[in-house]
Amino acid sequence: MPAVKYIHLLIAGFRRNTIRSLLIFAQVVFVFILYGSLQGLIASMDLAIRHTHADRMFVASRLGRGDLLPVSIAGDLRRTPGVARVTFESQLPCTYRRPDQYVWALGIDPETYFTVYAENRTAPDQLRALVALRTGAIVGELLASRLGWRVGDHVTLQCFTPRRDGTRDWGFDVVGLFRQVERPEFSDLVLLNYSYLNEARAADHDAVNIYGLQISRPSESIQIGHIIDARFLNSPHPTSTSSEADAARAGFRSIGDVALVSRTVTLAALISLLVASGALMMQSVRERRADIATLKAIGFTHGRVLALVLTESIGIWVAGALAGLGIAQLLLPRAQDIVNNGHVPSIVVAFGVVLAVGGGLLSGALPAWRTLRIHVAAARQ
Amino acid sequence: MSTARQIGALCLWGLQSLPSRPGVFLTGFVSVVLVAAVLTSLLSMGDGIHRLAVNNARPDRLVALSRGAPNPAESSISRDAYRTLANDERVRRDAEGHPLATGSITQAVDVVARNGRPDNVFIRGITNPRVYPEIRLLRGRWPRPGVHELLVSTKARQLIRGLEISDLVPIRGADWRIVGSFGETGDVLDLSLVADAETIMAAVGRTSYEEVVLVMRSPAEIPAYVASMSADPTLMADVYREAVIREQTFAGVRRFLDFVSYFIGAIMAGAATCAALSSTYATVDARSPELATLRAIGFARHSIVVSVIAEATLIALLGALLGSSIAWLAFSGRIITTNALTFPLITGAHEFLISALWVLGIALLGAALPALRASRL
Repeated sequence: MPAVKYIHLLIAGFRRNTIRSLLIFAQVVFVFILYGSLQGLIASMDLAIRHTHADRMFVASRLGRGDLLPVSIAGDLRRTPGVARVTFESQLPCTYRRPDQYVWALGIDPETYFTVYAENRTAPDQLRALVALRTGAIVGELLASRLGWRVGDHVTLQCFTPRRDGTRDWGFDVVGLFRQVERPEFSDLVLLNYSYLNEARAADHDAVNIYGLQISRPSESIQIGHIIDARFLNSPHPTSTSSEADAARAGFRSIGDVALVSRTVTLAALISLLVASGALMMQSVRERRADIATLKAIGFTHGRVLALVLTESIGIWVAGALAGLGIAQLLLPRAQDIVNNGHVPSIVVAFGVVLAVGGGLLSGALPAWRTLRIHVAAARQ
Repeated sequence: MSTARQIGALCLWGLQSLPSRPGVFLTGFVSVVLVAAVLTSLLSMGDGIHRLAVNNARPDRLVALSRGAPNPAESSISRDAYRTLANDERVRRDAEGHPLATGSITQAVDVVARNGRPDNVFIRGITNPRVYPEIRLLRGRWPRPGVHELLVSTKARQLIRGLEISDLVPIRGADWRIVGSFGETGDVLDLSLVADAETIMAAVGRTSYEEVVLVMRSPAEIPAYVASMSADPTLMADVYREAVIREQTFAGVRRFLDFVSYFIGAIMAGAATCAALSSTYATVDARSPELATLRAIGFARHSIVVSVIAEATLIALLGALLGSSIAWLAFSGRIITTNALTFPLITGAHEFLISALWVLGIALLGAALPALRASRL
């Protein structure tokens, strides 16, 4: 029998009670929005933790975010066994033209910054231009497109850190752009010469916010952290050294139990969907006794009828699952408060489709089995 | 037969015939139970955090932060400002005439949890224990000023290694001895160590407090006190009622939890509405011969509409009660520990009510259209 006829029969089955079929479909869609967005959220957080650089560590002050470290300890850090490269940044939060248009500026050391943070790529001649021009700035591509800045522009930022002369207007010359090749969303910032920032600001001289380290062997990260922190523990500037993965994990700490909660909720929703869709398929088969008996009368085997009912059930589940996962994929990037770059990874989609096939099979099994007992004689009803 | 009696009879008949179609009944019922259970437990998390924040907040206690600071961690109040705040006649005094006021500071220390994971706890440094009557000494004694001594909470002692009485805790190169323990307070202090503020500040090289906590003579004088402190141009401090500032500290976590609760709740409610619709449609379809007969013998259309909706609503509310009760029995009082927060789940009337209202909405949405179909038979 040609497959086309099967499709006709499936559509006929779906339209036997269009409202009911649509309602089962909609319920499947809702449950898979839930599955897709919750599992996608967890997977995105896992990814953010795993896609960190195992050979990168950060050194900050142990006394908290507001406390700075002296730039003079860079040499000590570089001499620590296992540390290959050291760079640092000093933060300069600013606004541009409007008080609500924030620009995040970092004073960096051009010689070392781009070797430690190798995912930030800039052209060699632009990097040379930054070294040559004290007030030069290399702008992230995202920030440049957000504010329409181009190489050659002179821009003035209003920054929270005052200058020596008491003003808060900081002028820069855009000498280049950089591209974040791994996470383009992290290029919403502007990089400046630390030497210029340090000289021109009114306070915090010779201090930096964070050191970035590149270590030779990732397996030594814990040991290196202990060595550095012990070295500075009793100094005026105790340090807190962490790997990039630790830092990412700390960001998601307060929502650590979300994984457990969402798994439980998704499972419960799937079970209730199984009950609902099973019960409705059952009723649908009961109503279609005469139709099914007619099919058997014109030569359909038991097996074919069984397959037809199962295909209908699986079809609704898979179609609903794909629609739900699609909606979750649209929703997740909006959850930026919770995770950057949220999306439904393909593994979650694949497992979702497997779940849908399984759910369709399970909820269709009892109704399909029922059709075996429908006798040809029922067609006369 | 009056309309009311018609509706009553129809509902009774409807409920009696439920067992004949268990599958259809379960379709709507299970999803409603689930929505109520999930919503109740998620909202209980938010309430638990709220309790953690304001459990010991007293109406006569005020908290002063440096002007413009959004939370204690970013606030810095000098000893001079402390004196101005505390030496006001509206601040209550103890028997010796000292103001019931304390400078307060928190300092994180690295510890190892009982399960071997590195963790951190906060030391709360205070200058005057009398401001915190909720810290009740169970064993040992209070830390003496100028000596490296700590008081440990019962819960921190249970969860973290090396916090028994007379244990030594290394802080900034010096050993601090645990000299006593205090009972459960039901708020953030439960996972803290308590020390003398000035001693901690000297050890970590800080010269200002994070906040000043004051006990007032009378709650009625609070507005005037707050007004005169805000008007003082040299003070540069904002004074808040304690509950306000404690709530604010947890506002971020609460916003996140509320978002998760209502996001999950809304999607599940969507699914449950579909289930309720198909379940009620199926019920109406199954009963169509009887309903037609009833119409023929004189039952009014609106009686049928009302009875279908009433039946669905009744079942849904029972489902809500069951779902919320399951969540209450299973989770209420259970302690959730994340790395950043430890808080109990608290289920109260609030959770039951909100779940019931949501479920009511689902039932009305799910029953209205099928009820119209039933009346057109």
